[in-house]
Order: sequence, then C-alpha cells, then structure tokens
Amino acid sequence: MFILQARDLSVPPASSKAVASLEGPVSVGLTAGDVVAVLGPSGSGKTTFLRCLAMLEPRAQGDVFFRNELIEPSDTPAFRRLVAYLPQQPPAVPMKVEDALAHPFSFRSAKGADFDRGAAKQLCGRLLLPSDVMNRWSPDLSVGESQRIALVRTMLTKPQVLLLDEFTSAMDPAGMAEAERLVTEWLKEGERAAVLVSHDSRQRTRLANRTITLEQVRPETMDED
Amino acid sequence: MTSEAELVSPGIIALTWFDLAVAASLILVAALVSLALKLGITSKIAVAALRTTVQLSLVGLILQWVFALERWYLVLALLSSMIINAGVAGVRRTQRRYGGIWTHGLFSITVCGLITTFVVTELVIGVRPWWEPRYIIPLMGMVLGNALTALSLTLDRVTNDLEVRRAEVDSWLALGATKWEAARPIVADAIRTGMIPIINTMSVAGIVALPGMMTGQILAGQPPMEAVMYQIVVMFMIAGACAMAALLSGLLAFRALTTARHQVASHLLRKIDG
Repeated sequence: MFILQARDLSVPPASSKAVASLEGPVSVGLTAGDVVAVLGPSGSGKTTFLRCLAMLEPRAQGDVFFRNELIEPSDTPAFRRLVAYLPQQPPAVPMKVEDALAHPFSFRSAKGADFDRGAAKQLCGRLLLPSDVMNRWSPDLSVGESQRIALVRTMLTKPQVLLLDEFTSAMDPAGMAEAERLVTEWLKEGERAAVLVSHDSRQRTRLANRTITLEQVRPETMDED
Repeated sequence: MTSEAELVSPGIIALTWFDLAVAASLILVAALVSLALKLGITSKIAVAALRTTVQLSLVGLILQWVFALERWYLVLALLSSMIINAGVAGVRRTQRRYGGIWTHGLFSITVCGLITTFVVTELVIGVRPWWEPRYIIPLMGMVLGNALTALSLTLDRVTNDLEVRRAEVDSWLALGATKWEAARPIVADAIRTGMIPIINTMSVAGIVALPGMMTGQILAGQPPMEAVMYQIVVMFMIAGACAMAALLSGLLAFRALTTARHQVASHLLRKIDG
C-alpha cells in the first residue's frame, strides 16, 4: 500500500510569472521506507511539486491520496500534519523561537497534543543549535539556524511523510550530517517515507533510494523567468 | 414657507459671494508660493480650488432642493448615491484587487453606514420623520467618509499581506493550521490598521483642533456643551462604523483569498499600477 500517492499532478502556467506552474502530469507513489529524490532543471517546478503534494497549491490539478484515500477539503490540516512540507527558506515569524516551536500545538489539528519543551530542547541540541536558541527572537536567526529550527518544529508534530525542499542548503557540514541522521532515524521509527529536493547529489545518494525527473518547462514559460 | 431672513439663525453672519472672493486671495497665496518656488503644482492648486468650489456648490444646490421638496424618496436616492460613491472610492484606493472586491467594499460600506446611522438617528437623536434630511444626510456623510478610509486601509493591508507574507501563512498551513489559524494575525493586523485613524482622531479631539461638526454648530450659535454632546455621539458612531467596515471587509477579503482546502489563493490578486 502507498502511504502517499499522487496521480497526474500539474499546475497550469499562469499569465503572471510570479505564479508557480508545473508542467506535469507527474505521478508518484511512496511505500514505507521510500525516499524519492526529485530531479529536474531549475524552473521545472520541483518546489511546486512538493507544495502540490502538501496540497498548498490552489491551482493544482490531479489527485493526492493518503493511505489510498482522497483527502476531504476539511481534513487538509490534519493531512498536512502527517505529510509535512519543509520550505527551503523558513519564513521569519514575529515570535520567540520557543513560541514558534509551540505554536503548531495550538492548532485544532494538534487534537490536544501538548508541546514537549524537553523534547524540543533535546532536538535543538542534537542539531548543534546554541543552548539559548529557544529564547532567541526568530527573525534574528541565520538561515542555517532557521532551517534547523524548522526541522525541529516539524519533527515535534510527528509527521509520517516529510517533503524536504533543500532542507539543509544553508547548514554547515556538521549540522547537515546531524539533520540527515535525524531524518534517517525517523524513517526507521515506523511506516515512514519522504520526498527530497536537493541540489547536492551526494545528499541524494545518501538519503534517497529512487528518483523521479520533472520535465523541462515549455520554452515560452522559460522566457518569462 | 419661511422668509429669506429666517433661513439664517440669529447668531450667524451670512457670507456673500464677495466674502468668498476675499477668501480666494488666500488660495492665491498658495498658487504664488508654487509659482515662485517652481513647485510645479500651480495648475493642480487651481484645479483643486475650482473642484472644491464647484463640487460643494453643486452639493449645496442639491441639498437645498432636497430640503425644500421634503420627499423621503429623494433623501433615499441621495443616501444611496452617497453609499455607492463611498464604496467605490474606498476600493479605488487599494493597490491590489480581486474579483469581488467591489461587491465586498460596497456591501461593507452599506451595512456599516445603515446600521450606525440608524442607531444614531432613530435610537439616540430620535429624528422625526426618520428621513429628515437635515440630520440623516450630514450624519451618514460623516459615517461614510470615515468608514471608507477604514475600508480602504483594511482591504489594502489584507491583500498586500496575503501576497507579501504568504510564505509565513503557508508555513503554518504546512504544520496543520486551518486557514483561519494561519491567516488570523494578518487579518487582525489589517483590521487594526483600518481602525487606527479614528482612534487617533478620538484621542486628540478637542486638544489639537475642534472637530468639524462641533465647529459648525458653535459657529451656528449653538451652546458649546450641546455641540460637544452631539460631537461625542458622532465620534462613537464613526468609531463603530469604522470597526464594522474594517471587520466586514477584512473577513470578506480573507474568505475570497483562501480556499475550502485551506490554501492561500493570492494568485487571484492583481496589482494596480500607480
């Protein structure tokens, strides 16, 4: 059985170049233990593809199934908690790091789960973040630090599928190694799978067991870039 | 019918067209400054002065006509055109638009204008008949003038932030937030922005300047305390209207720019040049 399956995903090109598109149609199925690396030239829509899998793209066409079931619109928040998208550049939110880490537990989809401060602190330590990081102001973090905080935050919500978008691109080698180890261990903890977008071919080799390739976008769309 | 002399209250000095010509010398000062310093706004000053004169004169003529005819449907027609103008003017000041923003602006302005004006003319003042133009027209005018500012500030802010701060909203959505949980800070910011002008106005009322309506009533010979009571009522009315306009337009824009699947539909926004 597929944990996560996508059928014929695409996003039609828009008149505005600021709006994302995905040539497609792209289909993929993830079984337990799968880590699929997404390949394709710059501008082919790798990020858009991950966002489609997380159902964040309002213009997306095609279907996404979680454990063979279509997701009702109202179940989307609960689905996204299980199929977690990590953006390449986590946006700075105007709050303290600890509050940003705890915030997802105030959502209805948390279903009463409580923020575990001890677990958060331990994960921060594992990812070699400074011991006072939880008291820092989120916008003051470096990109590498906010990538690690974003990973901690997502891990605390106990996802079953990770959609990783250049998740270590701004980390130093030691931080990257720890982040990869964290993901690898998480994969073994249950029926888990991940989709990986990474420019680092060695990282793809280390983490992924197979690849899919997105088509080059149409030339006229390229001109708008 | 009242005679010509009785149209003017005893305490007030009526102006003649000659008096207006004397006052026009003051606008000439502005024009001369612009000429001397080559500010390049001389023609703009002239056009603006002319517009003020023509527009206010026209409104004066219409008001005199409506006051004299005493027909409820004429009052209603005038109120309707004021509401439509306010809604259009409010939306026109926004920099980003979506399909439906005109309807939303008009709806918000209509609801807040009708409710607050009704409360004040019917429940507070007790105007009889309900459509007595001397009360309802200037009161609703003040409501609409302020509500359209609240409306445009709120709509401008919420549409701007849903596009510019989209990554922030998406990051909360990706962590399992509902669209309201994710976008609430943005909608709240926008509504707050819409209410700031009237809060500022209320805070400095009387300290920096006497509010316009109170000034008018005092000039017209009303005892200052009576004018003050009217002004307080009007301030509360305007504040209520601004709150309603900001809340309604903020929520309607939020609803239009998010989907049932808890997504941000900022691709529906078009940026207006200029």
